[in-house]
Amino acid sequence: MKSVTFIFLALLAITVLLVLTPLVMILYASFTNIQPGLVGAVTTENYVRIFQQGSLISDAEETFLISIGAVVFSLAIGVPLAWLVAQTDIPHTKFLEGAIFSTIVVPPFYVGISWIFLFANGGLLPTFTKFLFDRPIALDVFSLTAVILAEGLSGAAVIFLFSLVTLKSIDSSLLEAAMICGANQSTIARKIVIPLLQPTILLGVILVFVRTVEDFGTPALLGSGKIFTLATAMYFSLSSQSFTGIPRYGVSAAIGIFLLLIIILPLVLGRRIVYRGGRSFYLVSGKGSKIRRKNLRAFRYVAFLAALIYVLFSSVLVFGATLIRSFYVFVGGPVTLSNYDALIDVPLITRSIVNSIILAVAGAGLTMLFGLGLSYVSHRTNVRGRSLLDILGAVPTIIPGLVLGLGALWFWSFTPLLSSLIAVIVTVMIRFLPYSLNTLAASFDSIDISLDEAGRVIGASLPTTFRKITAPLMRNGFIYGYSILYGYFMIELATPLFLAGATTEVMPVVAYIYTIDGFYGEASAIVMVNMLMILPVILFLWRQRKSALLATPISV
Amino acid sequence: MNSSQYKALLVVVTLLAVAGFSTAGYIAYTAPAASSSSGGSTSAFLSALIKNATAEGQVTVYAPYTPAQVQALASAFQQAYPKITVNGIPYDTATLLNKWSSEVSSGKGIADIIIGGATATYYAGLQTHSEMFFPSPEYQYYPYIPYGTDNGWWGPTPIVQVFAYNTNELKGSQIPTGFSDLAAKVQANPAFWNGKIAVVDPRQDFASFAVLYSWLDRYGNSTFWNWIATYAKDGMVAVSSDGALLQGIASGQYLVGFAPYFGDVFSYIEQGAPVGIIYPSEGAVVGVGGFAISSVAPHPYAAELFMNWLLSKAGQLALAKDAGAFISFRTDISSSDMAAVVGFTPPTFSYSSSNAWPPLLNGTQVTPLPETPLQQQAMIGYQSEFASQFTQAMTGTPPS
Repeated sequence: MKSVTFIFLALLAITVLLVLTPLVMILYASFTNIQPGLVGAVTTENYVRIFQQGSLISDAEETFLISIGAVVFSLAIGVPLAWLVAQTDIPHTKFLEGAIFSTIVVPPFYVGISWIFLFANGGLLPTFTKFLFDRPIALDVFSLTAVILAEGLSGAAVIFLFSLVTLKSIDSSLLEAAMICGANQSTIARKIVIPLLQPTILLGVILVFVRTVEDFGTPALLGSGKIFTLATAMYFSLSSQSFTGIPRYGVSAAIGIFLLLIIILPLVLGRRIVYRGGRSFYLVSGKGSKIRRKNLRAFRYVAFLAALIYVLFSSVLVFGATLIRSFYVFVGGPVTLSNYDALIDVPLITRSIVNSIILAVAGAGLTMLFGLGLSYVSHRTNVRGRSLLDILGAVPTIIPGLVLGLGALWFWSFTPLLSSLIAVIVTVMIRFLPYSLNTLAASFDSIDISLDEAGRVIGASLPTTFRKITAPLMRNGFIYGYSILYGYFMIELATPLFLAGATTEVMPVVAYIYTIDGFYGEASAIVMVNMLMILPVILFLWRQRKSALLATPISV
Repeated sequence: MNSSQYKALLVVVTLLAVAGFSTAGYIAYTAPAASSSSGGSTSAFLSALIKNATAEGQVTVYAPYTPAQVQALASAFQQAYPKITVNGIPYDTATLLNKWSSEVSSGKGIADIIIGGATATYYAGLQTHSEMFFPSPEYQYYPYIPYGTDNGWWGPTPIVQVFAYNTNELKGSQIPTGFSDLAAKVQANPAFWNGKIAVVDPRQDFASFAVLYSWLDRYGNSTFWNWIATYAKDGMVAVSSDGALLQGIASGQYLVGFAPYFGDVFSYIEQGAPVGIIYPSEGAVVGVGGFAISSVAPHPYAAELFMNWLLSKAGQLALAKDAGAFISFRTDISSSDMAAVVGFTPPTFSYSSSNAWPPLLNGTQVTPLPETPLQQQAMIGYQSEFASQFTQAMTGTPPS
């Protein structure tokens, strides 16, 4: 057997094991009534139970309501913002692009936490308004509207990203030609701009929808026991809101299966719509077409202010409110650094910081290296069946973090690695494998294969060709992908939530627990440190905004 | 005997068994002699335990206290036993118990020992247990532990759930004395209390549900839901946890809230927050903070040593100082011992008759958490209906 074929088969086997095992395990879990790590009789009782409880339908309804609300809100903000930045003379476009791009790695969960610190009863706003006006002004952040707004704000950055790429690539000559032919602005928008935007926006919409459906942290925090999505129902069926003596992992798994189905459906439908009739799309770049920007006159400053307000709510307030809150044990009390003392004094927190660093540094590196192996075989060899690697590698896109976490918990329960950091790292690796493949595929596609072939012709082996030719050319792409993954690994909450054991907690999980338990001071200090750790990624994204689209798991 | 006599006998035996099991929680405990299990003196028993625990080197403790409290306890233990590292896991009671039961059921333990909260109250009677029984020599100081020896759960400290209020905003007669008084005050001056009363949401927090259920169970549906609806009519706020409630009271957003753990309230007082404590006239809810060692503990000796230390006088005083457990069932700890440690004279328990549970708190009646398995089953079964009733009451109309 040729060595390339052997490597392909080995990679295929590992990918199958990594990607499909959690799915098989959660399916198995949903048909049993036992604890993880045990083998028991198959039963449909869990499905019967969730249907009998009647909450499944209402949880699914709220999941749809929040997700659709978030999509609409993110479209309402993201597309106009992209248009303003790409096609008008709004000032400081580079600043706005960078600022909005960089919010893509600020999780909606942290937006929710900062709103609690800022607007909720006992928060900064009501306390200071009470001090100033003797009447506290609090906003109802524990509401459906707040959940939709937090998710939508985060989703707007994704829609902005997808829309901007297309809007920037529209050749002005197309629009001018339409104008010469007598088309008015509305006709141009309807006949040219919207059709060109449609595929990218649709993919952005799918991504926002999927992210919102699977998001756990935001509805868990802002839902406050009143609003349940499928993701929160899945977790809370095991935790404090339904103490039953023995945790019903089977029930949680059965809810997870429904969550999975809800995500698969729009993904499949969306891709069918976008690629109907065998259509395919390419990002047009490098032509240097001049964009004739629309003159907004005085409105440009109003538009700039509106864009600033978005940046303010999606990132500045998140950082600002969290930073201020981190200096109080209770708002209105003395300013103190004691919350930061806890980062060192409380082993749980110290450990979570160390674990998060290991997870992000090692996990992102391993994911990129594994993705590199898959991409190389898929894009640089002619082994039969190599496209299977791409297909399997993309499967985690449809697996919600909580579902993956619970499936992995079952898998690891059969091994001695349960409650080890290795289990957490490998599981989060699976989660972000599609991101790595997307970035690396773009890198491979940008390097002409004839360069490799030239190397082989002059007698270089495959490894030498890779080392001397391909690797140096794709170094930037690799670094870019690694940086993005480092950020995502650092802020991931859902996947490690089920897996976090006595010594494997990570910062977002600890921040979530502290917030739920009302230890806002320590929680804000943890969030601050976590955000400081992703600050380099935010700045990097700011600078590298042209290729920020690769920070998503879906390729255009 | 004919078949009907057999049936009658079977019914009587079953009823007696149920009654016996149901009242097991009230049987006073006679401590086993440590020497009998170790085959030597208490000091030899402890020496061997320390040696084995030190060899294990660490202990994982599930504790529904604040992270700072868990860390303080861990530090106090490590002062006594510096070679043993303590991994403190400070989640909420129900989450810890779910993790605990899952580990025990699957046989794959992470935790070695679980302490505090109302763990014993919620758990002791509910399930078939496989917790490890540990015959600590310290048990001789606990003649009134309200749990038996059969399931490995021990309750050496009470937990007390109270009202908290903002001391800057409420003075003298403005401070409510309990549910009824608060309802009267709200009706007399609704504008003053609008949005200023907070409750830990029982739909979100199992411990809060258990506490509120105890009052409902004692005073009846009508009275209890009328109180809640009266407060809700004037904008009572449901918050997610004790911490969120006390944050709101400390910052002045709420004037009064119920029903946090009194140790949490005292930790705010210690930090200088303007928070005061009210033992409601309807009786503070009292349960038992239980300890147990997991039957699948990865470090069983270290767990035994940790439990032994917690049961010792030093451990009980550390619990008082660091985790707000200001009352101990240990007989050789006096009020003055406690006062010397915590800086104030804590409330005391007394018993109206020998070994009777619940005791009196500062001479007044308390409201006990459901203690027996049957009571607990009833409480668990009522959870979803309670949530619906609470939602209804929060609209300002008591559920029918």
